[in-house]
Amino acid sequence: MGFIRKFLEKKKRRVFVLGLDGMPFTLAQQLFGMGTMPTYKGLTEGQGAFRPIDSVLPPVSSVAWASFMTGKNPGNHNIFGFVDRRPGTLETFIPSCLDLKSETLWEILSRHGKRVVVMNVPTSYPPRKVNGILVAGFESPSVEKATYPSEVGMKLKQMGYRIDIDPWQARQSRKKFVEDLYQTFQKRQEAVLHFMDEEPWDFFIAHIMDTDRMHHFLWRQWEEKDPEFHARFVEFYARVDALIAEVMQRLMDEDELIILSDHGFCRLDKEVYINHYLAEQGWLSFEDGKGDNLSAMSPASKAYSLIPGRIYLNRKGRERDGWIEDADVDSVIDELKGCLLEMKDPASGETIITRCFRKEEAFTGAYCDTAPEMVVLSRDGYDLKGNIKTDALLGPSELVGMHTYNNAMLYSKNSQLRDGPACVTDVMPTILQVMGLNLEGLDGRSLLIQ
Amino acid sequence: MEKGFTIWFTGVPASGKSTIGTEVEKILRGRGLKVENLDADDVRQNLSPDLKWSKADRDLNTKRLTFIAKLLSRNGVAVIIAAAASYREFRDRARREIDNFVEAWVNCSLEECKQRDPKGLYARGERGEVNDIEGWHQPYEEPLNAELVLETEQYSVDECAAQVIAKLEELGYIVPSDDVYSAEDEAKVEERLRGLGYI
Repeated sequence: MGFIRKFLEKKKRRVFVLGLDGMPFTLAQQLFGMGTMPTYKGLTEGQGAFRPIDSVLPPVSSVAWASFMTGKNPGNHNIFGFVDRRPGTLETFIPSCLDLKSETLWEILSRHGKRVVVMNVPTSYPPRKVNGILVAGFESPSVEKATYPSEVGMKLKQMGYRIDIDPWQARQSRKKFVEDLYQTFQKRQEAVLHFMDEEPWDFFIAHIMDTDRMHHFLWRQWEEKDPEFHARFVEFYARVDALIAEVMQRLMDEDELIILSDHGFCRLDKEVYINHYLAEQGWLSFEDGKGDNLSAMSPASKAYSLIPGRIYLNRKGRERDGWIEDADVDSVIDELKGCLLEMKDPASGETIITRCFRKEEAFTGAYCDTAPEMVVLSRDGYDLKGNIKTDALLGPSELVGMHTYNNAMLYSKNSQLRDGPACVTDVMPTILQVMGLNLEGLDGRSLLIQ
Repeated sequence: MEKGFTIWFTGVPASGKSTIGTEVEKILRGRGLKVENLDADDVRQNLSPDLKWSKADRDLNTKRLTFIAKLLSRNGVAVIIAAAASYREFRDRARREIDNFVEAWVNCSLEECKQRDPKGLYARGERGEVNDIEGWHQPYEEPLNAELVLETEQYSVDECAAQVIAKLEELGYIVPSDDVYSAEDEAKVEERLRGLGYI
C-alpha cells in the first residue's frame, strides 16, 4: 500500500517544512562542527541551499509565523505581537487566528486542491478549515480544541500529545523542565511521523516549538557549558537530528524539504522595562488606584510600550483620551527616538537600544492604523518587556535566553536560493513557486533561483 | 433563521447521553438558539404510553421521535435527542428523514455503566427484575459512521460537550462563537504566555 501510494505520488512536487522555532543559523553550524547533527549537516552539504535569514519586526514567534504563513508583513496580516490592545479602551487581548486578516499558505494550497497537514504552527488557533488536517499551536487551550477536523484532537489526546511544556514548572526546576521538554518533543515527533505515515499530503509542515523553549530556559547553560544541562541541550538537538532522519526516510528524492527557524537567539542577562523608562522621562503616567494594567494610563501620557519594543503614541482619534495630533506625530517620534537611544544600563553605562524603526519603515498595508509608531531592537542580553509598573528600569529574569532579529535559518534540500537580504516572509512565496503556484500581492519575494 | 439540525445521542443506558445532551442544550441556548431537548422517557410517557420494550415497540418509539425531530429541525430548531436507538436501522432511518442529522455515539463500557447506574436499572438487572437492557440482555449495534464518538470514560462532560459544539461549528450548523477563548481558556493561555515571558 505504502509503495503504491509512493509510486502514485511520485509525479507530484510535494513540500515538507520542518519549523525549528528560534534555532539560530550559527547554532546549527556549531552543532554541525560538534558532530551533533550528522543528518542535517549532511543535507546542508548537498545540492540545496543553507543560509541565514532575518526574522520580522518585532521578532516574536506569533508575528514571524503569521508572516511566514501569509507571505505578508504585519501591516497586511494584522498580528503585531503575543499581546495587543484595543486603542479605544486600552484593554489588552491575545490576538488569535481570527485576527489574522490574510489567507494562509495552507488555505491557498487547499483552494488549489492540494492536501495539507499543518502541525503546531503558532497563530493558527482557532483552527481554520483546510483540505486535510490542522493542529493549532501553543496558543490552543487544549488538544481537543486545537484541531481541524475536531476528531483529530481525540486521536492526539489518546497518543498523549501535548500542546506545550509547562513554563511555570520550568521556572522552578530545570531538571523537571528537561524531562517535560523531552517528553513533549517525543510526543510531537510521534504525531508528526504518524501523520506522515497515515495521511496523504502535498504539503506538510511540522513545527517544533520545543527548541525555542529549550533556548529560553537553557541558553545560558549551553553557552557556559553547564556541567549538567549543556549535555542535555546538545542531546536534544541530536534527537531533532534523528527526527530529520526519520522524515528523510519518508520523503522521496523529488520532495522538497525546507527547514527554517523564525528568529535567532542569544543569552538573556536583564529584563528592560521600557514603560518604566518612559514614565521616568515624563512620557507616561498612570492613574492611582486603577490597577496594574494599560487601561490605567492617564490621559496626559504621550507614549507607551507593549512587549517587545513596540512603542505607541497616545494619538488623537485612536487611543482613548488620545491627544497627539497626526500633524505632530513625526516630530514627537523624532524626540522619542532620541530619548530611547539614550536609555542606558546604570551599571555599565552602555546604551540599550540599538535600532529604531518608524512605522513607515517597519510596516505597510491596511492594518497599519493600530500598529506601533515605532519598533525598537535592543543589544543582545537586554530583553525588552512591556510591564506596566516596575520599581526599576532593569530586572532579573527566570528565563536565560531571548530572541534576536537576525540569525534565523533557512535550508532547502533541492532548490537553489539566492544570496542577499532575506527574511521569514520570503519563505512562503518560495514554497508556492516550488509547488508551481505564483500569487500576486504578497510582501515576501521568492528566493528561488530559476 | 438559524439552520435547524438534530443531534441524536445514542448509546447504552447510563453511558452519559442525557448528561451530555443537557450540557450541549445549555451551550446552544447560551448562543441564542431555539433548542428542544427531546427527553426519550418524556416522549415515551406522553406519546407512547402503550409501548413496551420489544424490538417492534422500540422501533415505533424511535419512528415517533424521528418524526418530531424532523418537524422541529426543518423549522430552524436545534433538536437534541438522548435515546439508545439500539439498532442501526433505527438510526439510519432517522438520518434519511431528518435534514442536518448528527449521530453522536456516547461510548462507555458495560462495567462502567453498571457502576454509574443513576436510575438503578442495572441493579434491577442484577436482581433479575429486568432482562431487556440494551447492550446487556438485548443487542446494541454500535454505530459505524457516527459524526461523533464521545468516550465518556476518558473525557469529562464538558470536554464531550465541547467536541459536540466543535463538530456543529465544523459542519456549519452553528456559527462559531465570537469569543475565541472562554474565560477559563483565556486565563489558561494567558498564564502560559506569561510563564514564557511573552506578555
